[in-house]
Amino acid sequence: MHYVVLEAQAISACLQACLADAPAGGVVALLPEAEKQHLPLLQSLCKARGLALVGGIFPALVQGQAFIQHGVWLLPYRQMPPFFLVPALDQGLSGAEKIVGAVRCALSPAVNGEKPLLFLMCDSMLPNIASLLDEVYLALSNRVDYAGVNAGSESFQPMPCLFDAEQVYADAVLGLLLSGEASAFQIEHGFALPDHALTATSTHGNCINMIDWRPAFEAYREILEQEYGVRLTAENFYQHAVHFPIGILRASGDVVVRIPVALTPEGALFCVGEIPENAMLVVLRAPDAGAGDCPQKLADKLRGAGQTASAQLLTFYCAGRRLHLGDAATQELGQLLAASGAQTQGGALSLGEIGSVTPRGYPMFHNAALVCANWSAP
Amino acid sequence: MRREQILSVLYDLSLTIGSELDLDTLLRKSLQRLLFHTSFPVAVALSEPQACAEGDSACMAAAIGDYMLSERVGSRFTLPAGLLGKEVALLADARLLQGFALDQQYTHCLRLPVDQDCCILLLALAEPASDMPLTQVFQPLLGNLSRALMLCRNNARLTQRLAEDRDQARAETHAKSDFLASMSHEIRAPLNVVLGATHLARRAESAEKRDAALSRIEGAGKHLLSVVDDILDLSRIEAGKLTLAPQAFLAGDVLREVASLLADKASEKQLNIRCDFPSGLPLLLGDVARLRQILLNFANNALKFTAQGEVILRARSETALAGLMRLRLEVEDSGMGIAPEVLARLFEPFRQADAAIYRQFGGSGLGLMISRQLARLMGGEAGACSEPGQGSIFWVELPLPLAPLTADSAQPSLPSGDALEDAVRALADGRSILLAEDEPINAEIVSALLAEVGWPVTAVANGQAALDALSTGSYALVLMDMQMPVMDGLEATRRLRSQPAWAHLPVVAMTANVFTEDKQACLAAGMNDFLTKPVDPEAFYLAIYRWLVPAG
Repeated sequence: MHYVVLEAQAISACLQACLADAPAGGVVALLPEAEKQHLPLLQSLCKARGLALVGGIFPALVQGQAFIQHGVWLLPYRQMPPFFLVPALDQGLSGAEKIVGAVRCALSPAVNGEKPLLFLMCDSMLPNIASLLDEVYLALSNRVDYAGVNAGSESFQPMPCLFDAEQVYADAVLGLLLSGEASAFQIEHGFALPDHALTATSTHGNCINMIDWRPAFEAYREILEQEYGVRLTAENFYQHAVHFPIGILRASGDVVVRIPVALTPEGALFCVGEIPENAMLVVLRAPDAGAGDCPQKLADKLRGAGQTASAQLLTFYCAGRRLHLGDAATQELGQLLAASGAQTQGGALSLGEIGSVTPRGYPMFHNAALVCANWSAP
Repeated sequence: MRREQILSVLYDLSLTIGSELDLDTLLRKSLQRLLFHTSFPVAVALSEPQACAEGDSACMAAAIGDYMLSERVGSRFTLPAGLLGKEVALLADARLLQGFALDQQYTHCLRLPVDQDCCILLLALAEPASDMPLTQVFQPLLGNLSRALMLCRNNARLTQRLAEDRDQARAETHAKSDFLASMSHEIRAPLNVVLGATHLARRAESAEKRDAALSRIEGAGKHLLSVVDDILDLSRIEAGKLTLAPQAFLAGDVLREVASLLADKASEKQLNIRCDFPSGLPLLLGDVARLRQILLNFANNALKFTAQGEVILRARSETALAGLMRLRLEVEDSGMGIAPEVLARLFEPFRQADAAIYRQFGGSGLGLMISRQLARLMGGEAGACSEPGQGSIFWVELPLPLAPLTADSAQPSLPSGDALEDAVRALADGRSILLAEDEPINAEIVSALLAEVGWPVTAVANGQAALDALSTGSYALVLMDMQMPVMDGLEATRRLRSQPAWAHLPVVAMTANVFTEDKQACLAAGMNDFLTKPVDPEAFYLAIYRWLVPAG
């Protein structure tokens, strides 16, 4: 995993150093939104060397304990893992069918007794990622393990954000079938349960229209004022909502976090990720940096997965979580790096995270979470 | 928060399952919601549990999360005793799950018995993380899930029945469309002959050519009439309006009559047609006209589909229960035979053996269906047995009472053919026959038929004109159409009968209204007899003879 400035000489030097004699090699790249105009340079350099290239554009990169807006993370593979990029997911066949079909094609040559991990990078503007994931799991079950993140712009404006060596796509899903140590991704959000539960009486996809049989914004605003003393208006909505996300209650005592990112004119709460109809909800108070032992839990999980600490940690950190924590988010990155025992940390700010909080459990789409894996050069 | 957690599952899952009526979708959604709420990665629904020597066996109704299991949905598994039970339980014995023969070593299983026919198992590779007893969370759900499953099963049955009804309705609609196409052909083909032969008759240079054209017109007209009769029969049968007219008959006579009617046709194809029945067949009471119709249909088909050999008309009878005789009539041919799959649908409505046969041999495809319906109307059954290349036997079996041996049993001897025409001519006594008919061509045809046998005719165009004519003239008989302008035939007959002078004047209906209720209406109005159009000259003369010949 190499952090490189987006200049031809630096990129070429990195590719030369890692993949000079790897004709089947390729690169997974994590590019910050601010550098997206340099993507053609990266593409042309990879093409010139006959290397495969896939990757995503994210709001920012993670480097060590910082979030940065420049450069690129290159994850080189001497043997590029099977991958697929499914564009225009909202057209033609159902998105899930396309993904499942692509995985099945990619799976066949990958079967070697070891179960691969399906790492998905999705355009954050896809409105039905949670449902897609349900359908994919229904079709593929445990033929693969699951992890992933959303790419895109933190402004939640449509932006082509997933690319290969030729193009950059919107409404797309990039899938990689990873194996080896780098495939043991872990996910954690560290949110604690509050005492009071609500019912999402009416939802439609990503929108919560009604809570407890009342307009959602009205009910949400009342809870924030009563329980947290926050006076919420349409104008300061996102500024506060990021600190008080919605949680979908699970019987196992866990929550699946949904950050409301916008308010519709009808007073519905628009979230990243669907909310099942009739779900029992809780209004969460986002944890302070380090609260809930999130970094430590993640590090424990990485070790629990039988992995020895590697020199590098690949980390995807939720953009909404950073917005909530502000500068303290970098402290959390530092805690994670320290707890993991890795020497360096690289990755990106993500706009939604995929994984199971229990080992090989039911994969879900989360917000406000961290997705991590030890990285060692494959 | 524990209460909310339980409520969360209960509320979420109950509303999910409450909104589903499709069993597969319900199971899939339920399993998905259960996995969402727990830390279990795999859920299966087992149905139709049965005890067996090794423990239990059950069918995999749904599976999520394990590829090997989801590939085997619909398969039956033998499972060790103790896995399927009636209590919600968290089982931590990996051996219990060995029956699934999986490559994953599941160690824990949450058993959720839904009802007698369904048990849900959640499987995990390690003890599931939960801060509360899972059994307590899920216990209240199972009653709801059980009710939802029951609704889905009922719905599945209902949906299946509706789908079957829909398919049947579609098939019937399709068959009726085919039938209409066949009928269109059946009607257009003879009409083409009528029109074409008429054209030829007009241009005929010799009497022979004109006669030949007229013969073709006559044949086509008769065929058209048989098609229309078939359609009307079917319509009456389907409407439940076909009534039987029992009379005494000897089965041997019916066989001989049918053989006689078809002798020319058999001769044309160089086929032998013969009757086979034992002596001493009893005199039975039944609708001989309908029985003849069935036999004619069978025998016509036999001649149609037999290229060489013979057609045998056979009759047998034996004593049945309740004082009834069981009469079995058969028509056996040495024809091409019928394949079993074709035989199975041969008597179905609007079916023929296949389209190729229709194109080759024609026919409305109604005859066999009408025959079976008639047989059933008479309390019996009709069917066929056949093998390709071995010929066929079409049969009708009827339970019929013995006819009382009275004088009525003997048919009065009536003239026929030229003798009949002579007999009618001999009855002419100077009086006229009054014809009430609004259609000039029909009036012209009837007048011509009567002129042939020496009877003068006074033709009027409605019932009122008929009454006026009666008051000024002397008539031996009235031929009365039913539907006419000014005054119809029924009203005219009622008024006529109200006059003592005409109380016994023979009135014969002659109408295109051919249903039984039409005949009943005519008789109720006071008419003596009922002739249907198109007029068959033989039947027409017979009716005239019957009502003009002095009694005794």
